Amino acid sequence: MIGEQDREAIKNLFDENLAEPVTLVFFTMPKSLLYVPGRESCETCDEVQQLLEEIVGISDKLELEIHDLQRDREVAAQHGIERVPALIIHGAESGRLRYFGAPMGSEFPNLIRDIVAASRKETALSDETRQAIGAIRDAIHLQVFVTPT
Amino acid sequence: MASLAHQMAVEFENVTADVIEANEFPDLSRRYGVSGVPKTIINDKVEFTGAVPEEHFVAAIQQAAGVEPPPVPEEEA
Repeated sequence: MIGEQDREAIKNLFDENLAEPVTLVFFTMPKSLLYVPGRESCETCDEVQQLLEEIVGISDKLELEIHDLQRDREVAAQHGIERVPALIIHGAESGRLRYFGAPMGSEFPNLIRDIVAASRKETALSDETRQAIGAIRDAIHLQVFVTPT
Repeated sequence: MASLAHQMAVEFENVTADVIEANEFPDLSRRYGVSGVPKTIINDKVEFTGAVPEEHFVAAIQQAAGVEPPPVPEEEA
């Protein structure tokens, strides 16, 4: 799914920038389980899994952990996952970074940047932002709706 | 907004940042009245549509957290 040129560019980026290992924790629902009346289907799960497999294949510092939402209910509950496809980017970050739905199209570059940011625990946030958000003790839940085109 | 939200989650342990593909989850999109993207919802309390500068995003988070943003210094005459 990732073209040769893009793969090369991502490899260079990862080689130069990845620090701590990053695990992509992916929740899916296999197609074979889908033909149950009343159960919702997951249109993009297989596609996303293939994309993630390709991404982790680019660097030794990346690992893919796959969970079946139906079977691995405890793990899903631990992570607060109720719908798929869901992806948690887990490296050296402090909070929680999650994607629901396919991180493709215009979201794909964000996904790659997120992996680097989580690995380095490094962002481009301003000092003002750090001070303001750092002063808040309560839980902050951000939900950003997007439509990758 | 998606990138900013995730960057905040990288830096702060009390931040959970979800990027949600609106078309794949029509139930969520309906619940949050998503008619344009990006649409950002903070603690189910404060919301805005469209891309805004980082400081506006921060102000919205402060509002959701009940924090009074520091007063803007008055311009000198």
